[in-house]
Amino acid sequence: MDKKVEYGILALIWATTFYLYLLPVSDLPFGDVDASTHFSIADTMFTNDQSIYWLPYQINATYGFASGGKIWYPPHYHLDASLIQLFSNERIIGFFFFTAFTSSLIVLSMFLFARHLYGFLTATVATLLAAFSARDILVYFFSQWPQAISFFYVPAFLYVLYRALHEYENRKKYSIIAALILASQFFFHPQGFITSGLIGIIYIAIISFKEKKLPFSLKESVIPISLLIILILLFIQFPLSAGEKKQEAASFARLFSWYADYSKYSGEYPQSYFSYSYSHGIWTLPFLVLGLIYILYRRKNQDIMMLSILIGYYIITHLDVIGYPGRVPRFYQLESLVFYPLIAIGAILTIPSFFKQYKEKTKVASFFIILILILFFNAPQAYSSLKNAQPLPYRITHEQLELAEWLNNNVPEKGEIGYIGTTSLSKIKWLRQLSQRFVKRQETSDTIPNFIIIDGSDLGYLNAQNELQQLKQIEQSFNLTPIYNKNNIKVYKIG
Amino acid sequence: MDKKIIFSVALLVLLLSVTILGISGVKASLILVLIFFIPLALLLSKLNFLSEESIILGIFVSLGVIPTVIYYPGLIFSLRVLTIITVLILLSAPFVLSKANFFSDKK
Repeated sequence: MDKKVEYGILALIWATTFYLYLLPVSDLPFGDVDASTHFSIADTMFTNDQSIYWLPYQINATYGFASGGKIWYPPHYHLDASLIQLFSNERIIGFFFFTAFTSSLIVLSMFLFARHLYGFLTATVATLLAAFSARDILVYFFSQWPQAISFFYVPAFLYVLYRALHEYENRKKYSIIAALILASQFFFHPQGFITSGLIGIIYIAIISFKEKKLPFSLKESVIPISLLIILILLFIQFPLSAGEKKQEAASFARLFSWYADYSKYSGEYPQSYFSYSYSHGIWTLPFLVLGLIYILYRRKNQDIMMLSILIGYYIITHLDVIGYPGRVPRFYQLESLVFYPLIAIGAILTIPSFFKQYKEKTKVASFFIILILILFFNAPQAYSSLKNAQPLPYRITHEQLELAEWLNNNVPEKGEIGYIGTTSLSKIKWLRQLSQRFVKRQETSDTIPNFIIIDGSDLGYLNAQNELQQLKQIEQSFNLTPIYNKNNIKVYKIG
Repeated sequence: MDKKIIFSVALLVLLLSVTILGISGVKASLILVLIFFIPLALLLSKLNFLSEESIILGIFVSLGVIPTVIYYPGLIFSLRVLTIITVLILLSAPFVLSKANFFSDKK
């Protein structure tokens, strides 16, 4: 196929993916769990036009100055986002534009990897599946953005590694890029770095065994490895303070189960996150099996690469067997890399191999059938999830954004602010980071703050009259004049 | 051919962003393209990487390398200034390397 047509199709798929991830983006921030913390680190750099080493006060006060008060991970993701904010002067849209963009990168790396190993049609199917990946969308909502981008680098790393090992004349330039990509993964999140490293080692080990020699020159690998080590050492101080303590190991039977026991993670993840059917669509399973048979039967270098990915993925998602269960579900995000090329291989390569006389026509027919299935089953779910993400009042409202700006201008940096009235803890976190002040849930606190916010705006939005009445009674007990009184939100100075 | 593709992709990003986010999207996408896309894509295309590699690997490498370069100086100096200097260096790298015959075939 003409390269221009290939680029055009890739551009269309990527533009669709980027468009989908931009759907929740507006002038109001969204996201749960760590979303507000990620925003805050970038926001602090944006506000000061400087890098940060120490976390802002409101984060340290919340987490008890963990890690000595310094940033927990290398700053790369947040620094990149802050540059978009700085130069566009768009505090909120700039940040979320960046998160949407980085979330779309899986499409580009998946295409590059799959195109080289298995051709254009296979790559297009794998990429389309990645574009509408339900699990990646869930991770987007969980706001595990640095982890996500670190994982998206894996196909790009494996691509350059593959070319460095098997194309002698190009080995030097690809090995340098491999070092830069691996270092970047380390900077964004160590999980991606560990994944790439593990799969790379497995692949090199199998190829070495197969060819009875190392597939690269140790002497020539000194420069890229030295480059990688130097880059990592520059920022090694940050993730060293993180880490998981060893716990009780899961039973031996766990080795025969693909996913971990959901009941152990039910407080952190929805059940759909542990579901193959929800994440990929049960219709993909037969193609996945066919793809697996293909690579096990053929066992060329490309297939050994896919097998290495499968083996590496199995190892890191079964770490609970040796007592490290905490991070296991995080690695499930890699399933798109593991499964989507295999599903594509099953449809585009395995099925046509049964029709030798009509191989090319069967390939094209298979492609269009898969395309229709993806657009019918996976695409609508992806669109619907992203379009309807966190409607008001479940994300910060304009009224609360105005309150945050007022707090930033009128409350001292280390002032303590109690909050009563919101619908969710996530909102309090957002208010904390947007105001760059230490806001805490007053109902669960036993200390008296300097300021109290009584926020009836969400309850008014939901027309929750009983709860609004209760808020009024709390207000009346203060017997004070509010120093801020707007949009059904009041602030009182206590201490 | 490479430069046409690179600038076509940049235009696509801009059009997409303005459609969804208006003027804010234009500003953010312009910055994204100018900092994290064009400099490394042009440099990699000069180093004889394929078009798709220049674009895709260029983005991935930029996102990691640019903050690596500016983070520590950024603790003292302005991030805006440091970023502009870094981008200018990256944009001029292909010309400097051309002058030094870096891209000529060695037989």
